[in-house]
Parts: sequence; structure tokens; C-alpha cells
Amino acid sequence: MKALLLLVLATALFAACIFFYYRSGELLTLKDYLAGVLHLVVGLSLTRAGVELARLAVLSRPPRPS
Amino acid sequence: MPPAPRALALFITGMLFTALFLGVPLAHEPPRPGARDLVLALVPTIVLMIAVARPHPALLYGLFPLSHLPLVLMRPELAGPGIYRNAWPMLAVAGAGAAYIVSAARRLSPKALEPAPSPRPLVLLTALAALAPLIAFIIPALGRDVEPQNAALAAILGPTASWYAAGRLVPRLIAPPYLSATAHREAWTELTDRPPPKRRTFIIVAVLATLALAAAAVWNVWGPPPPTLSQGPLQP
Repeated sequence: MKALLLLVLATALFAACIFFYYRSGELLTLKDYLAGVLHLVVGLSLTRAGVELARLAVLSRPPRPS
Repeated sequence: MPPAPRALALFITGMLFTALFLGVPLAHEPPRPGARDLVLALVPTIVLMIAVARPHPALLYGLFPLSHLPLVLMRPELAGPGIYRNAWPMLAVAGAGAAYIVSAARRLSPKALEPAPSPRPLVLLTALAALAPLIAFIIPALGRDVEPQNAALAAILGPTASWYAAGRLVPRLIAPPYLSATAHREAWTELTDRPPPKRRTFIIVAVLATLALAAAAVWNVWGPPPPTLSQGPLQP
């Protein structure tokens, strides 16, 4: 249950970072470079946060037999 | 090389081939791509994702190359002399095609297929992490009125974000504990042994993150601030 909740949160963060990437591309094509780079930084940070949550979801489950 | 990196290499080379063969001509050749063109341009990507998840010669060598044809048949100018008037576009497409064929052969080799079955969720996550930032950056750059240098900037940052997510974060943070029980135990021990953040640090980070997200939300909901005098007079 905890893993599922973490996965849902990670997916939400990933969706949010896709929005920021899209806005970043849009702003860069409109020559608004500073805003584009700021949105890119936010997108990368959200990606990192989403991956960390996905990692917690993996760690909260029993390990795969190797 | 284990199966997962081979699958990732196959996906990246396939995407590169599609981007060079369809994406770049679509962005540069008038008229502006419509919804039908974009849907047809996504068909090879979907076929490639299926081929990465279930590698089969008919999919990799047959269906994936053929899936580019519907868009070329609908828009023949994408493969016309307007695009290939110089040698380098042809060389780039041929090079990407050769890299794709090599990746497909490596993915289909018995050594890659025999070991433990490929962890499908991990491959799917990696493909998603590679594809989503790429598409998110490329779609705005496909507009007709976009200047080439701005489109090129977006086209460079898209693959960079893809590489950061799919090439660094997922293989370093998620893949080891997912694939190996030893790495899982080590990561769990490291996580539980880590001291909790100091109260002051936690408050500062929480306030900064809230402010940054609030600023981004204000910007995106209510739009950019009005132009200042340094940007010239207001237009009626």
C-alpha cells in the first residue's frame, strides 16, 4: 500500500515535470530565455524528486530474488 | 552487456532515426504539421516501444521501418529533394539507420535474450523517462513561426533532459535496488542509517520550495508580468 502511494506521488511529480518541460520549450521558442531556463531547472528538480520517490517505492517492497 | 542497456540503446537509436527521418523534415518543410501528421509521426515511436518490450525480428526489421511510410506517403515532400539537396542529411539518416540495425542485432542476439527476463517495468520507466521530456520539448519547437536557433536550443535541451532522467537518474537510483537483492539491502541500510535533516535546514528548504512552486504557479496561471518601460512602449 505504501509502495503504491509512493508510486502515485512519483507519477504526479513526473507529470508535473513534463508540464514544466513543455513550458520551458514554449518559452525558449518565444525567446524568453531566462524563464525557459528557470522552468527547465524546476522540471529537472521535479524529475529528481519523482525518481527519489520511485526509489523509495522500490525500497519499500521486498527485494527481487537474484 | 545486460539486456536493459541493450534495450535502452535500441530505443535511443530508433528514436534518433525517427527524429532525423521524420521529425526534422516535418519541422522544416512547409506546410505546418497538422494533427494528422503528428499522429502519423507518433506511430513509429509506438511500434518501437512495443519492439523494445517484445523484441522480434519482424517487429524490429519489418514493422518499425515500414511504420515511417504512412507519413511519407501522405507528405512526399518530407523525403524529397528539398530536404536531401545536400549530402549530410542523407548521411545522418543513413548513420542513424545503421546504428539502429546494430542495436537491433545486439538486442536480438541469443546472449541478450537467454538470461533472466528483462524487467519490464524498469524498461517501461526508462522509455517513459527518455521519451516524455523529448516530446515535451520538441512539440513547441515544431511551430511554423519559430526561429531556427530557438528551435535548435529546444531540440538540444530536450535530449539533455532525457539523458538526465533516463541515462543518469533511473540507472543510478532505481535500477540497482530493483534488479539486485544485495543493492536493495545496501540502499535500505543507507536510507535508515542516514541522520534526519536538522529542523532549521528542513524549514529553510520547505519555505524555498513553497516559494518557488508558488512563483511558478503564479507565472503560469496569471501569465507573465506586463512589459516594463525598458522593453519599449506598450502596444495598443
